[in-house]
Amino acid sequence: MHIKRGQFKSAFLARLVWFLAFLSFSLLYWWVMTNFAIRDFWDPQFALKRDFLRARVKENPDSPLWLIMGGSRVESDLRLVQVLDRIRKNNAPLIYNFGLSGADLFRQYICLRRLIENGPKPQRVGIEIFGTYLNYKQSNFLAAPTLLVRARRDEIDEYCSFSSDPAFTRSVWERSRIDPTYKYGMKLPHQTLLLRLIPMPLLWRLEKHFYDKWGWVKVPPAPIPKEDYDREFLMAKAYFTNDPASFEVSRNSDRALRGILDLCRNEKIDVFLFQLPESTDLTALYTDHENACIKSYLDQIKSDYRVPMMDCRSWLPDPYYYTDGNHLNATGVEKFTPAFVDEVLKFSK
Amino acid sequence: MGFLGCLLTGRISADLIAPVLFNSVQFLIFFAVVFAAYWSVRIHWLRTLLLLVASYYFYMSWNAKLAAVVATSSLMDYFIARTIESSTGEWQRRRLLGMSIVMNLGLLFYFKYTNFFLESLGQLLGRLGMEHHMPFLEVILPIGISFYTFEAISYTVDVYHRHAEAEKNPLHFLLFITFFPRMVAGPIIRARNFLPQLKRNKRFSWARFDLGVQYVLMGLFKKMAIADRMSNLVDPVYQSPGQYSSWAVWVAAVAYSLQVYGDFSGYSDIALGTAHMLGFKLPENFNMPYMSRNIAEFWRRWHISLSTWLRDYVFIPMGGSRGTLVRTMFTLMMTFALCGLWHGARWTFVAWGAVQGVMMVAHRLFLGWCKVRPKVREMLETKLGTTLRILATYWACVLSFVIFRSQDFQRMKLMFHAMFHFQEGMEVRYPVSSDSLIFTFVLVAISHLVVEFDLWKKITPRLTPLEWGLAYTVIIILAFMMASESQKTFIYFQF
Repeated sequence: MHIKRGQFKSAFLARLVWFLAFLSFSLLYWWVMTNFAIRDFWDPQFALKRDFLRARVKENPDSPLWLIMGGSRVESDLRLVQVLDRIRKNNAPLIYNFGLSGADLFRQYICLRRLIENGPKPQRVGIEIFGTYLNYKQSNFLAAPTLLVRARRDEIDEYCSFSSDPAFTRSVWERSRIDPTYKYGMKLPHQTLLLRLIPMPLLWRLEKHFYDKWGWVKVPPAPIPKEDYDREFLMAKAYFTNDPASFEVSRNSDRALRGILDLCRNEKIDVFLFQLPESTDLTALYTDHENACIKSYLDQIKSDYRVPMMDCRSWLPDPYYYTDGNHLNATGVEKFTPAFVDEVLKFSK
Repeated sequence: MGFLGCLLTGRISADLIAPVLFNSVQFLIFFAVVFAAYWSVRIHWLRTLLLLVASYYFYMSWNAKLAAVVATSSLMDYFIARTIESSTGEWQRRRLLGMSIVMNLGLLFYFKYTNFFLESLGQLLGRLGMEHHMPFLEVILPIGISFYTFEAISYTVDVYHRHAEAEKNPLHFLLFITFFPRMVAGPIIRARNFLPQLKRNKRFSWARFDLGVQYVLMGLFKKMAIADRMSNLVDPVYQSPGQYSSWAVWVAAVAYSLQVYGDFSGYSDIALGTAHMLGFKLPENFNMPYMSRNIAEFWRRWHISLSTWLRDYVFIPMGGSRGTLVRTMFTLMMTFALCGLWHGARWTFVAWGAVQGVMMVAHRLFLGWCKVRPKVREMLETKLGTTLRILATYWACVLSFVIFRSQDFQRMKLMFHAMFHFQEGMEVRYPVSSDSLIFTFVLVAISHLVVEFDLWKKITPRLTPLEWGLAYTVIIILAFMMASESQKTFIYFQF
């Protein structure tokens, strides 16, 4: 349609009306899809891992399922494809890496509960304990708006009960549900989210992700250049260093860990706790007071719940094995995974 | 908080005060207020004043103190140009011109290059085994300084050569330097094109407003859906090239060619669009550069306002193509080395400029070689020859951008090593994977072809309002959904 001079106003206004109509429809579509049609749209990292897990369980229907839960350190340190001979034998437990970026005890608690409710339900779980996280007054998943979006509608009350500012937590979460430009944060492939809005399951297969089929996320090759290590370590240091004088296990960390242990006890799931390797650079950051606090707390938990504890912190002390003092590089992963799995398999004896 | 979140919840916080980033809600609010005020005022001089206040507010929202530096140097240029025009003595005119150039380049040098040269001198002395304690100046680089400095210089040079009249109205001159749509990253405008527009009283035009909206939407899309998205493939690899596989490094190199194009041409589009909405026409800064058949054409399509500035105020005054071949080559090399240095205080920029110069010289020599070989020329003019030339030019740009993007020569070496020797390592998989490069590459290629073959001009007049509305919606949605997680500043802000 050719527009003559003088008709621009009406033509432009007509375009504007159509634009607003299409935009309104798109927003409505987005809102329905993300809030009601696609259950885990807001937590695709969890959904990816769970879907891979379901596929592994389907391949090994008779094997007992053992989940290793935790944060990015579990995600990157445990490359189970290296030990398939040990975990895919008849009657051997199916061990799966359920590490999720940034997952502290609260996040592990929420994810474990989802798995128990919707499957697959594990027979044994390993819960990662990261000393410095124990001090956090509240989970990152309650404080950071980009992480809060992961909460499901039926979980938000629980999120608020763990939050030190429930009103903030609720309002930020509600805002995320009405704002299509809200950012998700933390390593989420955008195309995953985009493709999920198109109701064609075939397209979902085109999704790209960063996990292998056993839940491992690829790590930098070794040896990592020293300047890269130093830079990454400084970032880790800034992020993880607590105020040594005020270090104490927070009420919310304790509540989350006890929540996991109570849940497992009720569901008859075996649990073990573990601490992952740390370089000497990182362990040097802990003061005696911090070490004593963490030790006495974990001793208390062990005696209250009679759970075993695997302390792997000193397994690989050399910074050579790390990218930043607490995430292993390729060489570190190669050394750590078989040793860890061997130790875990002892639980079945 | 998300973009719409701010609007939906009406939460106007302190961070809404700074409108410097075009792709922010702050700028949207800022521009809406300026636009409404500008067109509701009928008095011409009041409109000019309003734009001037808005432009200074725009700059001061980033750094108030440095806005004073811009104002002072602009006023100095204003008075110098007036004096040049009224002076009759050639020697005095030349002295005043020199004063203006020294002042402008002095400011540019002080803010942008002092630490760079001190550091380089320190390194040189260190290599020679001499003790040195080079001072480090705590200076903030005023955004856009490279752009408005060149504009001020071109203005006084034009007045000196009597190619332009000295502006009598100081408000007009100050607005010429600080006009906010193009203040921080160009395009570099010329006084003789812009000042006459300021003098004309304007009437609101729906056609122009519509054109402006299209420019802005296209610019936002380029910035958010192309540049910011590609930066996810680029930034981690350029930070630690040694950790990534050869494939990831090639992906990053190609992605950067798309990122820098999307970023800068996106900014230029938004600048042109907002200017159109206010009734001003700024020069086009990009014209499908990756369709260039040779490097000389690339520079006629890429950052056009800079390349024409360098041609008019550096290359031609230095002799241009008038002298011997050797002299021309020397002038070309110097011009492009300066072009590299203009981009930033880093030796990799200078090296990139030098490589551009070498490619320009090589192209000239090749042209001369082809002149006496008509069969080769005919072959190159065929469709296949043209396609191959376009591809060769594009890949030359991709490789030279590796120098441009690398923080230092060490990383540049690692990049080239990984590109030309098989290297195992990590892949970039989040938040986007290399697949998104293919999608973006195809998108940019199609857009280049559509415009190059004038399909755009054939298609758009036939579109109905419904189709326009749909196109706007798709652009907006894709831009916001494909946008990066963190709002990224424009690359050319640093220049």
